[in-house]
Amino acid sequence: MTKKLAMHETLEVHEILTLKTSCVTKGTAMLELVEDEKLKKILEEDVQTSTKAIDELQKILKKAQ
Amino acid sequence: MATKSTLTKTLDDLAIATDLLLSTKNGVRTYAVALTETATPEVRKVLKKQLDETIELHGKIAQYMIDNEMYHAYDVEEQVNHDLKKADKALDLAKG
Repeated sequence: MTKKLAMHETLEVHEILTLKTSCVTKGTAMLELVEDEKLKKILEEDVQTSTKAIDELQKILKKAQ
Repeated sequence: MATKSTLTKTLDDLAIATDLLLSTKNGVRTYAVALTETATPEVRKVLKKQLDETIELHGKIAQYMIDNEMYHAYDVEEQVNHDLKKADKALDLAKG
């Protein structure tokens, strides 16, 4: 991806990055409180997937600069 | 301000699952809207993949809540009554 992003794309990706950051922060905190094993697994999976998503979004935004 | 022990009691599995459900619902909507605004193929590809992941997670958490009787999808009246009680609990917590 050599081209810069369009301004509106940057804004959209930025919004999603913010959403995902909040998901990972909250999810990690809630892992300390969750009791049920099944729910814990779902939450752990979400934190892992969202962490990867943040990495991908950051790459897009850094290229856009 | 709620104390830590009150928080732990209040932020139980039901509250955590509900929060996760709301997050994924919001995520699916946000991704879908963002996807239709993309111009760069690479960005579209990444958002589509992440949208699919979010849809998967929503399915898991919704099913979990139905299986554990946290979410009465087939009985609206029951769900509304349940939620009214939860709302009152939240108000009590805020009052301290």
